[in-house]
Amino acid sequence: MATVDERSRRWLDRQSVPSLEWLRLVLGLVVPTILVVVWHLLVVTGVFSTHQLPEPLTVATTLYGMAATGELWGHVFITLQRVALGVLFGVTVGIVFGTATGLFSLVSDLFDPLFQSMKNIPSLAWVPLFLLWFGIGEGAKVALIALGAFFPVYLNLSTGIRNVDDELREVVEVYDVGWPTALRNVVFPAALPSLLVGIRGGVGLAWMFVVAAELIAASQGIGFLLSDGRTLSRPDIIIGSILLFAFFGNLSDLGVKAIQRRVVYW
Amino acid sequence: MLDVQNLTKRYDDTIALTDVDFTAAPGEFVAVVGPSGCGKSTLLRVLAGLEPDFDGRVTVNDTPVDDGGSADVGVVFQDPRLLPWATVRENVRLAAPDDASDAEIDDLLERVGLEGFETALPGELSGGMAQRVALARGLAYEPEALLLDEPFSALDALTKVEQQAFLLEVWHSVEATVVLVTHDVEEAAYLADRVVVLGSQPGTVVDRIDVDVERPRERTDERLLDVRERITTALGL
Repeated sequence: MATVDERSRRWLDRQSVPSLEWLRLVLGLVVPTILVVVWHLLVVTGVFSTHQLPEPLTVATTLYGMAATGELWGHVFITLQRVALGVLFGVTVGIVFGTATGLFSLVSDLFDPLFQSMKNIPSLAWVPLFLLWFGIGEGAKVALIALGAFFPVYLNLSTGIRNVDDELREVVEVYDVGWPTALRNVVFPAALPSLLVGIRGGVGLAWMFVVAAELIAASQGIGFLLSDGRTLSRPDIIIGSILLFAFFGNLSDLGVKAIQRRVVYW
Repeated sequence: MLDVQNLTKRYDDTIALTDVDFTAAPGEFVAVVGPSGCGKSTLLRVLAGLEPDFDGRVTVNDTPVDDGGSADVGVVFQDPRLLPWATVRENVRLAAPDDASDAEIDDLLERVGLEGFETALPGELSGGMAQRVALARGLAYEPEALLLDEPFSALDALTKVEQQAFLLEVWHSVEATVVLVTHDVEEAAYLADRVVVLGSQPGTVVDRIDVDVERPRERTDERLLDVRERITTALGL
């Protein structure tokens, strides 16, 4: 009896796979939708006053208005640019140091303790120093974001390279595979999944750091909108900015995830 | 020609192998049989140059393995140990000489019955096929001696028989020395010219048996059954 049940259940599962995927996507939207409705009701019934929490529709209208006048795009563009540049630099430096420390234990002994302790410094703590060093221009912000993106890439790649399967290392040894070939065909592909995990984490942290940078020292950007909304007592702008961060943060994560799936094809 | 004299291998306090003597002539098929934990894989790893610390003298064509001798040795491990991101062809190329052409590699793949799978990824292969890629990789290295570490132990009985046939065919065509480590008494008797029986704790040679049975062999040949019996007796089973 049990086996028949088992089999029919598996059969059912298999049959319903495509629709199940859709159902799960829709299910994921249920709670957020309810929250928006509850939010709307709480404001309309006066539980929250509108100067603290505007209606969802007000937020949407504000965003739409700013988009229509073109004001929004400058902020969005500059933030995206900072994140992109920061990620670019952070990932590049992360790859360089991750590779070097992963391959050579001497380099690892020299740099790893430093990086391991630096990664625990909160992002905001760097802001004053970076302002002092790089001024309030773009340099300080990009450098800060690069710093944030650096650590996950460095840490993941370094351990990824160091932890290449011993069994594969023995294959390399037994067949006298040359150093360059071993790196290209064995070590780097083996570390590629770790690198992409690192980049995903790095992009995530880049968004955290861009907020830190823009909150404190910017005249443009989504983070600036955020602090500007507070100054102007405009909760609709604040919430709108948060939603923008949520949107672009998710978008970039999906992008990296898509790359991850393509690159790690095996 | 493989030559092992007075090989003793310790791991900290435990002695894996003690005073192992053993030779394999060029083109000879030697099976090393023993219970699990008798150090037979260790013996193979020493020959392959993967265990640099040992006592005794281990040479391949008169060159000590710890002095470059192991360069002439190829290994097929218990798991195929293929690169999951590389195609079957690229996996084999890893061990091939730098100037090996696609045609030469495909030729090897054909020999182990994998034609048409040149561009497949290891994840798409069955266990038996993956193990044959590993065998082709070992051959691509053009080794003096090919060492096989229980390469069929993870396969089902039917696949195993099939793989043994491939191995014999390949061995005939390349005339390499083959050392097969196994715990399968039947397999050892059926495949080998000579069976070296290792006893355990500590691992040492307890018997050497010449299998004087002409090929191709019948698995049910009386003389093979005698060999199996002698191996079993030597193992104290």
